[in-house]
Amino acid sequence: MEIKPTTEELERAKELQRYENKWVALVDKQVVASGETMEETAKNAEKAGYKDFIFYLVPSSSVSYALPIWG
Amino acid sequence: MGVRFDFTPRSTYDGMKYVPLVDVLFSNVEHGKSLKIECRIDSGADEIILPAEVGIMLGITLQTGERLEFQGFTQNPVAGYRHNVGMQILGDAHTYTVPCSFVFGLKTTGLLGIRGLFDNYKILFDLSKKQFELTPIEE
Repeated sequence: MEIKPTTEELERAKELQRYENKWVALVDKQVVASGETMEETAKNAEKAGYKDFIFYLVPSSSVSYALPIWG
Repeated sequence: MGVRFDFTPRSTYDGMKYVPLVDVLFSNVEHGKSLKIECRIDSGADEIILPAEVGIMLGITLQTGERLEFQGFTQNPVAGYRHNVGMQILGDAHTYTVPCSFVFGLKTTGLLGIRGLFDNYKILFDLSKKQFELTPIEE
């Protein structure tokens, strides 16, 4: 089964790809700030006027994710 | 009643992948400091695993928790510390106190694993509709 991405999905994926291996601050799924660390990202988001945002660590696009983890 | 989410598209070297991401509010159970993190649902993870940075930002003294080692399938084991935190999936009103391990050197966003997520929610993936649904398991 092939699942075709929509134009909107392609745009969002492309936008996130610009921030790979960085933390980003998201508001309504849009990147409003980024940084090497969460603290730096929070500072940048607050500087841009955002108080309520969601952190996300953008994975590298060259890595296929397969990570079963056990303790 | 379940809560539906859209899979998130992710561009990779070998094409588009669809990832089950949800926004989660984590809180420090001692003083209530909280953060929102977009996390990946991962049925291969035994429990909830977050980068150590998240615990530090929540004001948790990580080293006071139970020390554990975590093993991916190729890398060397990495250290983590387990603490109880508050968890709320945004979009759902339920809140839970769950064990969560904060791992140093984790190069991915938070992973929502079996203990903490799958024991609190019934989860249905429907990739053909690019959607998945979380239904709280009522006690």
